[in-house]
Amino acid sequence: MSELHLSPLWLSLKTASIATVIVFIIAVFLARLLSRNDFFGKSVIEAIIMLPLVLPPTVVGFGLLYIFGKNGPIGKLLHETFNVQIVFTWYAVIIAAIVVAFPLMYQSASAAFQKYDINVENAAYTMGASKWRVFWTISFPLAWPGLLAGIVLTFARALGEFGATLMLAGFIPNVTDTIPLAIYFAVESGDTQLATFWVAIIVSLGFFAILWLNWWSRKNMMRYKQKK
Amino acid sequence: MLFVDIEKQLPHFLLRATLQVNNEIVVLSGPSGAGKSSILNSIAGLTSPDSGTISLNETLLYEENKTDLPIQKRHIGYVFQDYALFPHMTVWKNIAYAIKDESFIKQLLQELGINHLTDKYPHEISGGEKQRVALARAIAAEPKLLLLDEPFSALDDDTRTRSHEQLIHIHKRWRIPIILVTHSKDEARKLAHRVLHMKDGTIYRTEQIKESS
Repeated sequence: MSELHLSPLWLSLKTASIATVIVFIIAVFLARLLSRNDFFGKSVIEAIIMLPLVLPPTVVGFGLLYIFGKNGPIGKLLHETFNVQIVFTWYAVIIAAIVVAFPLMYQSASAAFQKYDINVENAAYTMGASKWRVFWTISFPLAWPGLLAGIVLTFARALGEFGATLMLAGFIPNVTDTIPLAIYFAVESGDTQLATFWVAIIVSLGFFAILWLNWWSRKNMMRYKQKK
Repeated sequence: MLFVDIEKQLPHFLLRATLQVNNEIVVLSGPSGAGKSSILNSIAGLTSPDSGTISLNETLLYEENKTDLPIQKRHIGYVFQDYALFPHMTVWKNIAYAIKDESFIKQLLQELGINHLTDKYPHEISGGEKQRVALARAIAAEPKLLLLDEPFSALDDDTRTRSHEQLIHIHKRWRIPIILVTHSKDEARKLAHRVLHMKDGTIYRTEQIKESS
């Protein structure tokens, strides 16, 4: 095994954390907005949101490369206005993680906001509470178990992102070398020991995330069960 | 005084309702899907009619293309069929959501006989107790009108009888118009000053049961 640099671990954790926070905020807002409202074109919007979940990561990567590339609509704007480059940087790692993980958070949040009785919110409104207050004191706490499940899934998905990251961010040691990329290039260069090390790390992270999630949801189900 | 004159297209029929409610208990009676809940929801502001007017005392709540006062500003208490208590809050917090005046909450709890439940969560109390908490919560906001959507349907006979008496007491004590939706003819006769019979979105008969005091 070549000299071990732990940068992939920190980079992966950092990227996945930041991506999760961003995804959480946007997905919760969007899910709350769309979950209880029906309007023309809603299914189209939801289909677009869910698309990264069913597309091969290479297709997502290709799309992102087009958008954020130097000649792409957003890439060009960022480059000309702020002199910022996205492709082959740490930002690219985060963007790839955000896009592939977003559907999972959106789906969890959407289900969470539809799970409780809508009249609970209505009752709060009839008592004179503002929309903002109802969201923070009623909707959010009631949706929280589902949102938390979404956070865990989002984090795990962001942590494991490979295809889109490779296409948009490339493999640059200490800059874009997340664990999944480190595994791939360790195997490529014949360093099985290093690959095994990273595989063990990521398997444990994923395993404990799911274990915790199952424990948590069972605990919550018990809490919400009616006591007779 | 509540005045309602609205039209709303529902999936199977056109809802057409004209009613006036003074300080009395008015019962909306009729089969499921007759449009009773739609009337309550329109009054409370949970849904908007297609046309017409709704006013409460001197306030215009709804007027076609002009006014559609948000739910929060209507000052209407609503007891839902399944009570819709906040499951993550204690009985005390459920009621205190509307009002901060502790002595008023204590008085309400006392009056409705639920002061022993303050620290309980909704899943820890019985159906009859839930109904009383929902009623206390609706009144705590000091509404100018009280709407009740089949609040007694899930209760056993004894609890229902007690709840009926409580509603009559509430009406005498707060002197606000009350609209009650129910399937039960007995309930309607026992509680109502007037019964409005509904079918397919129209009120086809008004029955005066007793004079409003």
